[in-house]
Amino acid sequence: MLKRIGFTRNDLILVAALLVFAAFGAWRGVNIGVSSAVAEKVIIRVNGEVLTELPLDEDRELGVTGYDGGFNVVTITNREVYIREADCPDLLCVKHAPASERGELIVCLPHRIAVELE
Amino acid sequence: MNRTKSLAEMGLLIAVALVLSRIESFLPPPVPSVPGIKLGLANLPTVILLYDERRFPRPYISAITLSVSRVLLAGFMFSGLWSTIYALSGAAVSFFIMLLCKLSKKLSLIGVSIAGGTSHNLAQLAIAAFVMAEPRLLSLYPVLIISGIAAGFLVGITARLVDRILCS
Repeated sequence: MLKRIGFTRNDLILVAALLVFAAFGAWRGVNIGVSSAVAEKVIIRVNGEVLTELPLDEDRELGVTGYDGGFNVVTITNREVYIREADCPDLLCVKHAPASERGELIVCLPHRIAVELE
Repeated sequence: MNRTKSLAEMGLLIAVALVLSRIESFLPPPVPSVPGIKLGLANLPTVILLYDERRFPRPYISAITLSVSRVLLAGFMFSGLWSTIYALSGAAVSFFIMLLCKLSKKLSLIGVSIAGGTSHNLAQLAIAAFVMAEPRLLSLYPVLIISGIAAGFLVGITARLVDRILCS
């Protein structure tokens, strides 16, 4: 079936090599314990520098001014954190699912804001 | 094909690419925990052009012109300067990888498209990690490889179908 749509043996080798590379990374990621641990605090960084640390079990909302004057609203509620609002055009950070596990990271690329759980 | 005709067709393809990238921005992210992942629909006209030797005298130059124009126009119309710079770097890396893969004659159109999708994702991830000074972002790379394979595969199949219809 794959042959009929023009998928060749070399294509298959490329995909297999990429999958092995991906599997290696996923396996190492699990080994260093990225997820499924309870997070306690929220670290907000702007342009690589820590702006503030907040406890995850306290509901609150914080306006963050990022690089280039961009503005984001970080919301902590029910032990989850998400970016409620941003004035960037792509809004990828707002589309990000709420984070609650240790090691999760929400970033706003245009404003260089990183919200990390620890 | 004469110059006027290929110029007109180029304008048409840029318009199609712009519409596709606008449509794509309305689609919900397929992986909510990595919202940067997308289908790469706007890359479709570039892949088609890369293989359109019969209609364009210099398909590679046309394809890179198309890719750069689309990213710049979409960037300045729909997003900001920084997003445009990220998009441009991803597009440039993926274009040159696709060109190399095509010239090597080892891969089919679908393989070339998969290589393009994956390299686009990896390049953008590397740039994001660098600009944000967040090396931990790099740990997302397996997700981006898999989504790059999937997106490249779908774009490749579509490009092949369109190419057949256009050139028959």
